[in-house]
Amino acid sequence: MRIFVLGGAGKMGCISVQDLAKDDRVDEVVIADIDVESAKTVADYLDSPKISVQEVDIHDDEGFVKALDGADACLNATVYYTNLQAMEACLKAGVPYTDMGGLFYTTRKQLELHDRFESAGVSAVLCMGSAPGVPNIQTRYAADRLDTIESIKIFDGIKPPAPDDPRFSYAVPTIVDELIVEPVVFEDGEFVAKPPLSGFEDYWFTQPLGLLPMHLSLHSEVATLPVSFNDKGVKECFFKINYWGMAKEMVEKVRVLIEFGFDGREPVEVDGTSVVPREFMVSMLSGYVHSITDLLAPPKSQPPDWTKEIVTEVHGTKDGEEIIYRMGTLTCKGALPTGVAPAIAAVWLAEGRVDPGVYPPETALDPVPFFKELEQRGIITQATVTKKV
Amino acid sequence: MVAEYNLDAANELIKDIGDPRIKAVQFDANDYDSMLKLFPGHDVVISGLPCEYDPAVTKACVEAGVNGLDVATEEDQWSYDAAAKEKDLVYIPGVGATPGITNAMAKHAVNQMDEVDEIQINFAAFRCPAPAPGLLVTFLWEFNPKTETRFYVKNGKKHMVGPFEGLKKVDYKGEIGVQEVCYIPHPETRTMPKSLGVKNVSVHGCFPPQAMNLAKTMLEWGLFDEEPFTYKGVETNACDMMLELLLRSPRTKETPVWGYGLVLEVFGKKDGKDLKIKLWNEHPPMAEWGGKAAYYKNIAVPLSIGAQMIARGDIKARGVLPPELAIDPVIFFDELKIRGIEVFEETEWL
Repeated sequence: MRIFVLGGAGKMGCISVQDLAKDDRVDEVVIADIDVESAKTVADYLDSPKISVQEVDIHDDEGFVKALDGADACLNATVYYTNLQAMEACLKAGVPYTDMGGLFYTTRKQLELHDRFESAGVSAVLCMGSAPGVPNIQTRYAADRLDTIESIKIFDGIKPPAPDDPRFSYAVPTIVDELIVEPVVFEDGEFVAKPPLSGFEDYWFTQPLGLLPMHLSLHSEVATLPVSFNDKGVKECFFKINYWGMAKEMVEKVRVLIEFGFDGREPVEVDGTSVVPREFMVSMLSGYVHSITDLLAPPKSQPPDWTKEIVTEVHGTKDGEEIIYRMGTLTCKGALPTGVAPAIAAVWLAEGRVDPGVYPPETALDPVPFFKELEQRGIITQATVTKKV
Repeated sequence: MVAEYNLDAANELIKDIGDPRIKAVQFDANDYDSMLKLFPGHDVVISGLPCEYDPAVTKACVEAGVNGLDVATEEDQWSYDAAAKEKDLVYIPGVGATPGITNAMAKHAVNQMDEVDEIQINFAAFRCPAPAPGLLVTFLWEFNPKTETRFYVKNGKKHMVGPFEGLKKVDYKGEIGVQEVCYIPHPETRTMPKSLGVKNVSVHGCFPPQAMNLAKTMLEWGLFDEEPFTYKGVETNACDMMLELLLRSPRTKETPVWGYGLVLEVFGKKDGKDLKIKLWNEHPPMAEWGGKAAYYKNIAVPLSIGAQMIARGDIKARGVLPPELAIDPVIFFDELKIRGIEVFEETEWL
């Protein structure tokens, strides 16, 4: 089995590569990246005979499609802007596709490719980062056991770093988008936009996380779950997170730059050079991320300082009785499930376990074996069922 | 006479004011000889140029035999002191809000004491970061970690400090209210130890909270860094690029409250007893005082008063002198009051 990891030298992609290289079902992992130097750093660190490096420029259509030749699945770990382009290449190459999310709107556009993928006999599972991804499958687990669903409430709780830790928890452009684009919630059966950083509520997570302040954020789960479980009568769905796993103080600083116009996409002339303020800001902040070796290494401290619990609360009924499923997936390293979940999806795609077409995780992947695979990697999922006595 | 590079803007201003005594002339501040041709025949030259032009303007005033004043203070200006005295002229650097009103406040307190121990100056410059290119440069310079003149004087010795050090809260009253301030590089710490013989002098200041957050963010994320790097094939550095992008952003031209808060505390002795004299300014709220002009008037009005005091002969001192050695605070405060800026004082025996 040969898995092609597009952006495999990136902060999340390298974790996928690490997981795939350890997987007995996988024979070969290709780190496909434009940054060959970083790709070599990842390959050297992981030191696995299964890993190879291939320079790939996603903007070179022909070269990209050619590079996909022989792959059993493509895992797109680049920033979500490339999703549609990468899917087109996979469609041409006839290679199954998965990615880490499309920040609501891109996911919707990707789902429109379903018929073309189905006709071509190519399978795709979207939104398989830890979130989106894990919450979708958590919801499916609960939905399989409920007759009706009233609400789906997703809480992505990450142990906050120190206030002076300036690092971003994942892709800087995605976090900037999440800060400025209005989150969409499903409310009374309608999709409604809310102000960024709104809807605060405290939520109690499994120790060592405890009580965390959660706010709305634009996420792909909300784009697909109310549609997938429409037949069960879903009326409410939202996604909340605590400052995207960053220190609140750091998020405020990004907001300051945005307030002063650094989210601008219109180029301005600076000494004869066309500069897009947003691109400049992202390029200046891109250094403030975890190093690849930090991301690949086991936690440095116990209890780990990058704990995360992804919780989905599904409120519904079974045989007329009101039931709440609290699905909690706990990990000792925040980025681990973001790399692992799409790696599992890529393997399942390569094994032919997903029908041709484009699917969100909840309609494509069977929850119990999925959670079992996460458990094998130390990522534990617990279901708590609450009902009247 | 309005001497301005942009003659159209000058004529527009004159049209708005509608006073036949005002005329305009095109002027290039980079052309030193043009100053020598233009200045003679005037009683006083007011320089509203960015501070880097102040030494050249001072030199030209002395050479042309004309009194002058400006709103900043550059060390090179003092070198023309002897020549100005010789020509029976006065040139006063720094006659705005701070330096300017603050120097007169300090002098006023010092005049009431037998011994002066400490002068603490606090300002709140409530304006947007980039109302004009020069003011953005000043704003960034004040928080740039490489700025070498950020110090306070304690026991007669300079103590260098970094940006956002010495945080404390000051109540400026009115629309500005209570603000957090930090050490700011300012001319008062350079002039007052010598001119007023005070061993302890400090200047704390702030801009609107949003602007302070910008400076703090730039500092913490290395955006004042001058290390060269290549961006889109052009060699630049973070600091320069930030300056250029901030200049071009419409959002750096706005802030909700415009005004200027000044609070001075002077500690000393009178008749053997310890006392503190606190002085502060008050001016009409921006809604009644021309919106953004509520900030600018605090700089431009004292500058105009200084020029008129020189022209009237209220200023007898000669040479290139800081405001505290040239300007009578009582006359100055009376003139400010007529124009809406009031200075208050409160004496506390310790």
